[in-house]
Amino acid sequence: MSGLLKRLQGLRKLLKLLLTHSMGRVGVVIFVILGIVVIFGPFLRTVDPMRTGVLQNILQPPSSQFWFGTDHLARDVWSQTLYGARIALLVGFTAAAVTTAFGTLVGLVSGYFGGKIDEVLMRIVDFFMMLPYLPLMIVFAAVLGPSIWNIIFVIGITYWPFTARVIRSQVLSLKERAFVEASRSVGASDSLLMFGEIMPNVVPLMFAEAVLMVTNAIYAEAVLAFLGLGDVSTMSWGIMLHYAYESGLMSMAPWWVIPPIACICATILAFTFLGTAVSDIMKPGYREARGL
Amino acid sequence: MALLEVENLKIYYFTRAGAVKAVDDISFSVDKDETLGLIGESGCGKTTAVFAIMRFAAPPGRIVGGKIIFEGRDILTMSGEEVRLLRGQGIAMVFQAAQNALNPVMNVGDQITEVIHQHEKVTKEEAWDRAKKQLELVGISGDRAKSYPHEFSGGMKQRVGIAIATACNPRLLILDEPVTGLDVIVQRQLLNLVNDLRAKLGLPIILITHDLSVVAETCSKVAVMYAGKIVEQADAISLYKNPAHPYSKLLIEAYPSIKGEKGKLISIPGAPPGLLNPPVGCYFQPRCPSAMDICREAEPTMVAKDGHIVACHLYK
Amino acid sequence: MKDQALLRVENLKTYFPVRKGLVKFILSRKVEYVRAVDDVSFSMGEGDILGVVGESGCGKSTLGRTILRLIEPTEGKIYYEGTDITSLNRRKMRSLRRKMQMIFQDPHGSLNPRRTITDILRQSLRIHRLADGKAEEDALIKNTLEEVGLKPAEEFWGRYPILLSGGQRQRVGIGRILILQPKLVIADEPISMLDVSVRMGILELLAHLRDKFGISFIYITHDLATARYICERIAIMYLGKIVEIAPTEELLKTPLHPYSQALIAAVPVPDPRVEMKELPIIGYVPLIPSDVYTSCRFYPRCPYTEQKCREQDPPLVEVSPGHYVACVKAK
Repeated sequence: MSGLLKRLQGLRKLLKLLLTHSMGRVGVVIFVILGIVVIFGPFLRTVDPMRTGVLQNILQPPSSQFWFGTDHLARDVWSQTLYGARIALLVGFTAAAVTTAFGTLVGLVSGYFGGKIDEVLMRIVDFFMMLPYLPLMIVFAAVLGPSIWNIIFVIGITYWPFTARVIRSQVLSLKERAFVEASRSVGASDSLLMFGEIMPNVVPLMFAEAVLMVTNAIYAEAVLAFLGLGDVSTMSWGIMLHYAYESGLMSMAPWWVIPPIACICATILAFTFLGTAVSDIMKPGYREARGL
Repeated sequence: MALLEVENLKIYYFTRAGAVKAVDDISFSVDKDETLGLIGESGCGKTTAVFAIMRFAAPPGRIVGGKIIFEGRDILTMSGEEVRLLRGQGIAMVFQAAQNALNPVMNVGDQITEVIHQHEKVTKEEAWDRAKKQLELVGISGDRAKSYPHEFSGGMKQRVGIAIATACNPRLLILDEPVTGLDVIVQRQLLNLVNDLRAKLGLPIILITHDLSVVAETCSKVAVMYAGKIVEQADAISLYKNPAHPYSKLLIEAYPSIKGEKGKLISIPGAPPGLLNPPVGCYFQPRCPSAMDICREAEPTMVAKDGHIVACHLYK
Repeated sequence: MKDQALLRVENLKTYFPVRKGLVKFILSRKVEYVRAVDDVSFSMGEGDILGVVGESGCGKSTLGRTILRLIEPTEGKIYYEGTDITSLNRRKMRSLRRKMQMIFQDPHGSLNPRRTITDILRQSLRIHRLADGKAEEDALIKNTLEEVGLKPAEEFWGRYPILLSGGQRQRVGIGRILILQPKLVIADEPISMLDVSVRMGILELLAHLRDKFGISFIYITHDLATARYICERIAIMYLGKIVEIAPTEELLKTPLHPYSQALIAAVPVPDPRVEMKELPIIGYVPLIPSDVYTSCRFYPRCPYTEQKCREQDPPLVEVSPGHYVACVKAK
């Protein structure tokens, strides 16, 4: 219980710090809006986004009944937009978590041990980084089939090497620091040094990377969905754009196209800002300079 | 009229939590034939104060009050361009760990000529000649003008720093911790150089350091700083013979020496106060063995005593 | 015969291969070495405080780390309480590690900024399983904090290093190893990064720990003046070798090796009335010392050099009780 309390207090502090950062403020605002949408979506005048409607409601511009108008199957664009947020955040957070966890593990082990282990792991990383990410994702998605979990897997497979490299760099410099040598001389084992001494110092970077990874994930999902590789049992922003494009009616129905694009951009912007703000806050001297 | 007169200088760092009084109302002067040692421990404000002489105040720091009068003119009221011309030519500074302030991709001769070209209209040949002479002046052979910084040892890089700073014959030289981090023998060689230069060029010097022995070897006048204030000023010999301020006394007693009796050494318990909300009264009072009631209530003002200027309630 | 000394080092060598630029690497086969520690021998007893003094690059830090086997020696032997520990395997070394510890130079960097000081001390206990349960751990930690001068312990309990001053952090660093009850501690420049006004306090703490617990110290520094204050014996190192070793006051009064003489003459005195003496030394520490590996290391800089200095590497010879010098001209 006290651990939970400590976490909550930590979050409050983090929130306070984010609000002092110019980008952080914007990011927090958008994030809060997204949160409201995700949690209170069903209460905000939405209907099942997949439910098709009657013929005369096809491709209607925004009205009092359909706030954002309807698509080519008379589905409510407003509902689609709001539900799309759920997909975006689900994919975003899950893929980011998986990618960051795996990338950090590899980076930690590789950076700490160096030598042959480092060589082998980094060659694997190089190999993955070398493959052009879009075709890679397309191939995997096509092979594995359209399900949201496959999409998350594909994003993870594509992006983990970048995290691994970044974390490894920091581990390389951390392992030379005096406190690591001091712990070693007291008798700490390799795993204690890696996970007990070095990793806590890597967490801020991990966190910043994870936040930025969310943007990659959301973008990747949108691209894959747009190309037709998405999970059509869900209605994400990417899928909306996919239908809009496929139907050939994009130019006629701006109300269908603008909301998903605006939301994708806003969300990616929000997380980019949050990621930048977090990594700025983590830099030593940030708080001192503001007298916090 | 002294060459440099600093009057009531105040430099505050403005943070969201309030103003940190890094330098709080200090005054000192340097004459043409003097070497002033500004001594204090980390965080006492000595570097901030001296940076202000060159009008360097890194935000969120700001010079909020006082005058810095150099050759009769207040630097703080000069225009940006006038200050830029003053730097290097009127007043020159050698930074702490000058070895790190050297550009690794330029040879040392070019780094010297760069400064010369900034301030004087000379031909490339003349400038190069002068660069070589500057190197000779600091004890480095002129043929090494084409060498790069990484080809020199730490002490020699420091000398290059001095060569660059004196290239345009400044009228005042500032040395910020010139020998910190250098080996003892290299340190001695450098201090010899500083003394030689002073004699040869007739150059007044301000030397910032935390090391009493460096000050003892080079300075004629000493100002002791603590928590943003100058607590005592005197000529070097009388400061050592009769330190007036309790902090000066304790500082001198904290210094080990290889000469003379191996006496008992002390260390000063506690730590300097935070400068965001400094304590009421004398800043040194919490650690002072001679603290009196009045020290907790009122800040001491500078008074003259036996040729020293001290800020301490013990003296009135 | 049982070995009386706590620590005995014999002909210890630590060489590091020089990394060459690509062209040189291809062109020449010969591997060159930096002889960081070059044939060092000495011994010390229980409760001794030995100073190892020298300038940067002389190998004093490497010597300290090699003795603790934080760096592996290239050649030579290290005996701790009579046992040859030079090539002990990891497991056996682990239990000895407790007894041989190190204090580091950087009070800020040697403490993990993301752990509290109590956790740092706790880690030492846990690694060596020195306590049964949290209550006993807490009691030991409290004692140690107070023993190193962080009194009252409650005031410092659970604090992060960033909230402590340099001197206090260094005390935590000392506490971290004190809690293991070591017998030999190598202090590598423990006060050079601290403010002057707190340095002596730390040295006093070290002397107090020797008096109370019988801990022996090797005090590594470039500062002769502070070494004078706690060391009974001082060894002067130059380019990987000990050039002179003698009781402190005798060394300071009558240094016999020209390098020691230069070092002592170079130390600035914090008294402006004392004149700076002439410096009896020439030039600078060579960037590439390999030219002097077959002769006296110091001859290029020595004002008294003669032909035989170039021909052989003088061994450490006892010229008066307890006073050893490595110079062909010392008497």
